[in-house]
Amino acid sequence: MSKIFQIALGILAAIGGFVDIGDLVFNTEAGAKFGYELLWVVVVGVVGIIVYSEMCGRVAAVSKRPVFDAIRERLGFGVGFGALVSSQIVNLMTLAAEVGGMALVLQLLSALPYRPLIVVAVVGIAVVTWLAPFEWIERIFGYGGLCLLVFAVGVIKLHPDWGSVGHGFVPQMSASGHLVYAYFAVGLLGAAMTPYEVYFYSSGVVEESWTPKDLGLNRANVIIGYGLGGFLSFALMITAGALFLPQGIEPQFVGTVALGAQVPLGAIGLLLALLGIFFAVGGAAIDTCFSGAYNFAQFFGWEWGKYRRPSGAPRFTIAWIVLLALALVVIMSGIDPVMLTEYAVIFSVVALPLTYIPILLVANDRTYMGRYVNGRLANTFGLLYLVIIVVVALTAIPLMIVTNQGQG
Amino acid sequence: MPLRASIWLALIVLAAAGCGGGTLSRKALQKQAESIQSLAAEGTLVAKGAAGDRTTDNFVRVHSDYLEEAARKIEKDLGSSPATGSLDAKRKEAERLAGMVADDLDRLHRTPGNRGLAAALRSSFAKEAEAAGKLSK
Repeated sequence: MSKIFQIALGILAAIGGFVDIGDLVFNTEAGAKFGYELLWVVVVGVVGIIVYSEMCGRVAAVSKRPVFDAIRERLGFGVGFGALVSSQIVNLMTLAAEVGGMALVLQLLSALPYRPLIVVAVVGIAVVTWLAPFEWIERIFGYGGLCLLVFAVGVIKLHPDWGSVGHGFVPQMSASGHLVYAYFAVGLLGAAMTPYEVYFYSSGVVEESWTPKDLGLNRANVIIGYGLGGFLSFALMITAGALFLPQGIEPQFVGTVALGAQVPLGAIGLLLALLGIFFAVGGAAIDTCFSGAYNFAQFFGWEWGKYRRPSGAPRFTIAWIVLLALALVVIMSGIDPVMLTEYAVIFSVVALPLTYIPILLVANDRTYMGRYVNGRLANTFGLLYLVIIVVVALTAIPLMIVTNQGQG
Repeated sequence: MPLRASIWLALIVLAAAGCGGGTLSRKALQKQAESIQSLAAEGTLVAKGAAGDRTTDNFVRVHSDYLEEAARKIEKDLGSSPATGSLDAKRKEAERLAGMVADDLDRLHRTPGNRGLAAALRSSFAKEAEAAGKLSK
């Protein structure tokens, strides 16, 4: 049983990163537009995040240095500060969107007005973050998010054409709408490798006091956690390809995503889907809130960590409270959370190289890593993905503009 | 052309484009018809769940409200963007359809637990989706 609890960090990082409010809609939109043709992109993204999360987990376990520590050291103050500002803007956009997503789910469950539910969501996050120990936060939101597995059950009941599903795992270009297809491919890759996942994961490794003895646990966390996140992405995309594409439905709402479980499984499917979305989105909110505070603290050299009492890391505590308050202000302004998070995904893609290059450099540095330095396999994949990341970073915003955010 | 004049011209063009008062193009009309078709098809699924007691009243009430809001926006946009020639007849038809979809979604929103009404609305949505689908071709 304790082994199952030990992989909670990876599951929370992955569920928060893969199936947050934007990904839920983005994956569903991709399936509703292109059927199963983009499944292979999720595989590419899952392998990429496994490669880099394993690397930054190993760096954190061996050197006790999380990602932003490495960013500041390797990129210098100026460029590092640029990386800090860009990542914090994306973090805040994502956090605001997740808070809005939690309120939307609560509204679908209760039919109460949206705005008061935003306040309920923010207060709920603040109370849980203040009171619950780190490992309980991981367990509540990580395992609660597993309710999303209802979509995998729904897929079986929807009887998709499994031959076409299998064909979707083969890299291909769409027969039509090349630019829109490319936009979705770039967005799915960006969503899979979104930087806050590695900020949160590597800081979590330090929070949990992992040492080189835990490197096996690190590998198990990233493979099982992100593998599961990818599996849920497949389920969402296949659901949309089997249910929404034939009827010409263009998903724009969280409720449409939940409909994907309600149609095949009835009310119980709907409730499990909504609960799963709530915990996944809540987990993403906590991921981003902590990531923001971790980044500030690690960049400026403050005391940090959830394992300390708030008085033991006062600036870290103030940082996450301020971020949460700012997110409340942003989302109360009336901005659509789904739209906001889609922008956040695309903008985060631009910041990907600034996050992943320092990780690769530190993981290859023997003075920090000793005998745990990257091997040939990790470097081969690391460099391959660096090329992919740079291409994706350069094309994300032009594609967003040219395709009118995937609308064609 | 002097730089300042170019900037003013660019601003005027951008402002005109952003006012929403321009003439509707064939492609824009097709997009709007596709969106109406999508909302009506989604209405069919929601109504089917309500008619078969396979959903929750809260979900039907809230989700149909969001769908209605989207349909009303399309209706309003189509009403404020005139088209020329035969395209204008299509635009009026699309505007009428968007209004019908929005009205049906409003009925679903107001009485989510009425299974008889939901069954009737299901077939109404299906017809509206089919009509919007033809319009988008």
